[in-house]
Amino acid sequence: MLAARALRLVGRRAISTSVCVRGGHGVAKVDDYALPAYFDRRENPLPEIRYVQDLSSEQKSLKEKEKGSWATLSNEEKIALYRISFKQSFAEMNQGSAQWKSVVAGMFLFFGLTGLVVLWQRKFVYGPVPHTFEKEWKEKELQRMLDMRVNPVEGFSSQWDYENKQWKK
Amino acid sequence: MSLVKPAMRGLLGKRLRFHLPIAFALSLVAAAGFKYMVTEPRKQAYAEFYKNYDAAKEFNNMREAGIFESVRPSGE
Repeated sequence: MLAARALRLVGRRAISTSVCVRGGHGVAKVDDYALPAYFDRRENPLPEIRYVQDLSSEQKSLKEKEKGSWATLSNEEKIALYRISFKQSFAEMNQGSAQWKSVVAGMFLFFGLTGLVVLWQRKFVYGPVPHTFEKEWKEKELQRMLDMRVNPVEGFSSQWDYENKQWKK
Repeated sequence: MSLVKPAMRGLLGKRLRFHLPIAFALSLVAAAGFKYMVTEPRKQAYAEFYKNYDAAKEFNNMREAGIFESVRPSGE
């Protein structure tokens, strides 16, 4: 089992299927999602497996040439080798898209719909506000706050002119 | 294909050497700004308020307005 695990980490798909033997019962079924996968991620720069698994004959010969001195490889060959191992370059995978525009548009749409729902609710669902919100009550409330000298230094009552009984200019 | 080799080490150090002095300076500016735009005016406002504050007069005004329960206005 440990040998099977170690070989699986190497990432050779062909080998891992055949080595998964379970105590005399034969080859265990290995699900696709359990095998090493390829993905382009900035945080994980070297994926566990090559991108192109089944090499064509010229790709195979290129891989053989890669085993020799790399100085003999032309630039196109180097790029071909890169594209065998990787799907997208860092520049390609990191490029932004215009998706944010649709996201923001969707946001605003839902804000608007929610606003309509709230308006409907206010009109048809909620009852009246308490009587303490009436104009006369509020006037008496504010007068009492001024009488009590609420926040007289920098706040509410500091804006009231007590001599002339009006708000300070 | 001779690209320049990118910086492989010292990335955090470089970032800190750049950003820490700026952060320090901005914090000092923020603190100084708050001190001279908020706390000093507030201290002045309180000093002005209490310079000529007559507590007894204010108390009597409040009493006449009828907000206390222990002392009713002098008329009642």
